[in-house]
Amino acid sequence: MKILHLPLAALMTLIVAACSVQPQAATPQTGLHELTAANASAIVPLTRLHTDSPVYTVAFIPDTPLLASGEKDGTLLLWNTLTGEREAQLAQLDTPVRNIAIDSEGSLLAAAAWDGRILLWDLEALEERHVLEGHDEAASSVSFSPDGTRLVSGGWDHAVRVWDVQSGTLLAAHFDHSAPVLSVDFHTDGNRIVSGGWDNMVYVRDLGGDSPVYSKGPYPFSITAVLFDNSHEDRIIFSTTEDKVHLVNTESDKGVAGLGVHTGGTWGLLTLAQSPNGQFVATAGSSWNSVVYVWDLGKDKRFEILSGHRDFVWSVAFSPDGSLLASGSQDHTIQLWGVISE
Amino acid sequence: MTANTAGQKPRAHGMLASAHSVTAESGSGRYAVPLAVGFSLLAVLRDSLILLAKSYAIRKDSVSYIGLGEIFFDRNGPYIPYRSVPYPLVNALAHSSTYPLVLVWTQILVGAIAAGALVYVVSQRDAVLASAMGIFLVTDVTWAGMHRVLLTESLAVSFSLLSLAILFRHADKTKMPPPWEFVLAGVLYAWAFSVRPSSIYTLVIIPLAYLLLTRSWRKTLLASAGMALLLTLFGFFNLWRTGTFRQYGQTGIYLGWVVLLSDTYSADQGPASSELERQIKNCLPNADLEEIDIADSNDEIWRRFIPCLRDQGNSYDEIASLFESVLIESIRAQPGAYADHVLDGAMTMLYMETEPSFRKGLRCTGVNYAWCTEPREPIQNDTMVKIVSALEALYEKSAALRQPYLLPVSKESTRQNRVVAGVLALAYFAVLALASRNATRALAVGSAALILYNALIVAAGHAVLGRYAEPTSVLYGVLAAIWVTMLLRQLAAIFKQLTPARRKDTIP
Repeated sequence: MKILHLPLAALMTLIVAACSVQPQAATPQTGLHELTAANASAIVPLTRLHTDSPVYTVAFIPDTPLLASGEKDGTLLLWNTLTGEREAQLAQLDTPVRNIAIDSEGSLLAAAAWDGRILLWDLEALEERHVLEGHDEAASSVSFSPDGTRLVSGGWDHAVRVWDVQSGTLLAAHFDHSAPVLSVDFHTDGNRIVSGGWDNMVYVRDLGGDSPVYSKGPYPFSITAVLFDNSHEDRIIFSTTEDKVHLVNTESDKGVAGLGVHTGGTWGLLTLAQSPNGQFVATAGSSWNSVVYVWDLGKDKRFEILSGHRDFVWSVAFSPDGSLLASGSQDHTIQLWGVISE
Repeated sequence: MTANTAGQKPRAHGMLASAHSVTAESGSGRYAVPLAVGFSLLAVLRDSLILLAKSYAIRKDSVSYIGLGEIFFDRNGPYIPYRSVPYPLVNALAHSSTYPLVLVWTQILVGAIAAGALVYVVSQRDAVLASAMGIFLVTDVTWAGMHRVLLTESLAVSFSLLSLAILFRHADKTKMPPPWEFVLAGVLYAWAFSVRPSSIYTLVIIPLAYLLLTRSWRKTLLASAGMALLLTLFGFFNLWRTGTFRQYGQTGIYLGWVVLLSDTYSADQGPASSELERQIKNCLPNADLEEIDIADSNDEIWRRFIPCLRDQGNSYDEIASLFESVLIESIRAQPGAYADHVLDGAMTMLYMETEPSFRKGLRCTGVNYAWCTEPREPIQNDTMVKIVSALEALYEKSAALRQPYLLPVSKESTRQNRVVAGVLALAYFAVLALASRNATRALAVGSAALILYNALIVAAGHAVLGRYAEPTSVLYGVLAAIWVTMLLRQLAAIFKQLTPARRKDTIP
């Protein structure tokens, strides 16, 4: 698919026009985009998007109905979540795209590539802005600071690197981990980063600090995904190949609540996402039934089990308004789910 | 329990001939129905009591079967490559996710039917042997314990027993079954030996066995056609569901255990071996692939090595293929060591006693079925405890009869003891095969072959664990019935030879 060099505004116009011809069957009757997840009562399947390769990563672009995906064959795509159509192909790398992140303005996309590069794309101009080179091995995870000026990345070279987005320069490299780093996240305060990886450790760092301000582990198995809880300042959420989801308060160093165990996941969880209002956490991985679990943090219990994929689920993401959930799978599909309110 | 039980005069003469007569003339068939029904009912009674006393159980692996049953006819549902069609289908038909007891009762009834069928067909030739088999089958609490668990073992064993019953009938040269019966038998064999994917290679041996037993190309072809028919249906079902015509997907993932536990792995044995080492070391720099212990192999392989390979972009099939290639390189590089591993594993399997384990409880981790989280509690009063204890004691008392070759072997699991057990087991099987005749020989050879197949396939394709020997208990029971009946007949023959002389002596 050729790259469409359209201004985003024009693209948006097309999308808004497309809304009027949106197929009824693909949308919950309640009117998807008028909802927030605060009063969610159910999560239902909407549309399945078909790709040519396993989907390693998905992320929504704020203030648009666009979804970005990164695939094993190196394709970076933009999808229209209203029509289910491919809107644009951002890039075709010669290496798998393992993770993508979008800044809070929806103007930049960072893609972590298996060859160690991190690509920064300008979503307004639909062109590459920087290629960040520093990881000696595969880059596995990326996350923007809330103001969009910093990017943190983790890699198979055991490093967590912090980058200046504007200039594309490396600001810091941290080697707290003794094995590949699988997941990183920026705190909403913009000053802390968290990382987890194959050394079964979780580290929290202040930007510019000499050493981690908090560490947890080693756990019996690797940390596959880690997030700052966006509803509690000092809480982190992480998953392991043991198939467990942990909530830990970094101030008290105590586990807050076990979200329980994902089902039948012999090879463990791969991905986590939290809804913007903090109520829900979605988990998925290489469980036998390829389901996505949605947990209600307020009630400390499982809210929904979403089945529809046929193979590993590599990535889940909530839309910025909390009304959509996307899951990308080894089965060459992206499933869109609608969060329906009462 | 003598030959006269069936009310017929033995035709054979002499001691050896009397022993052979176990297969021949002690049954006219008139006891067949009452014996079959009686032993079936006893089996159901036994299983009902055990179910009341222990309740139903699921294990970790049960979850995927129950779940696959839920979405069995959903074309877009997930697919587990290493699961074959029959057990998920039974789960779907029984609605096991909602009604686990329907599946448990299905398993109990199939077991009872299998026991009844074997007793029935054997009774038609030999009521004494049939009775002995019935006794060994209804006292087999290892087998009974499987019925209450929502796992493949119960049906795999019961259908194997049913297959042996049909094999006995078809090997009986006095019977002339219609052609369609051979086709149906083939269907049964295909079903029975694909309940567990590891048993499917048995189906290669069956046509050969048929040819040898029946000496008929026609019958062999008809049975083979039946097998082909069902396997083709399974293949098309998988084609519809997954887009690939196959019985099941790659099971090479389990070869990780053989590769890493057989002491034959070395990174320098080939490209796949070095690739495995390279990728594992990427995640786990300190991992020593040559030092994996069986005790921690599940954690190492399932939760570290495989996720590590997955995290580097390998699909399930690619991981399975990698382990297959590594195993082939290991075998090529160290054929002696690999053969030693397989033989030692097989002998360990033969060395294990098939004692009842009554695997406990419900592993409801990650499952929110109401019947799992709030299960029906077992009845644990004194009466039930006594009944189950009595059943276990009965089994334990007959353990020496089931595996008599273990009597001279020490319980200490040394290599020497395992070798002695393996050699004695082979000798035991050989003696039974040579001493029996006709259809009974088919039964003896069939049972022994399934025991040996199980021992070899486990050692060649997985880790050797005690619970993998449990499904062979009924086969040992069948063999025990054969030799116990032979022995009784020998004693009866001796007694008969002595008795007239004594009478003569007492005549004034």
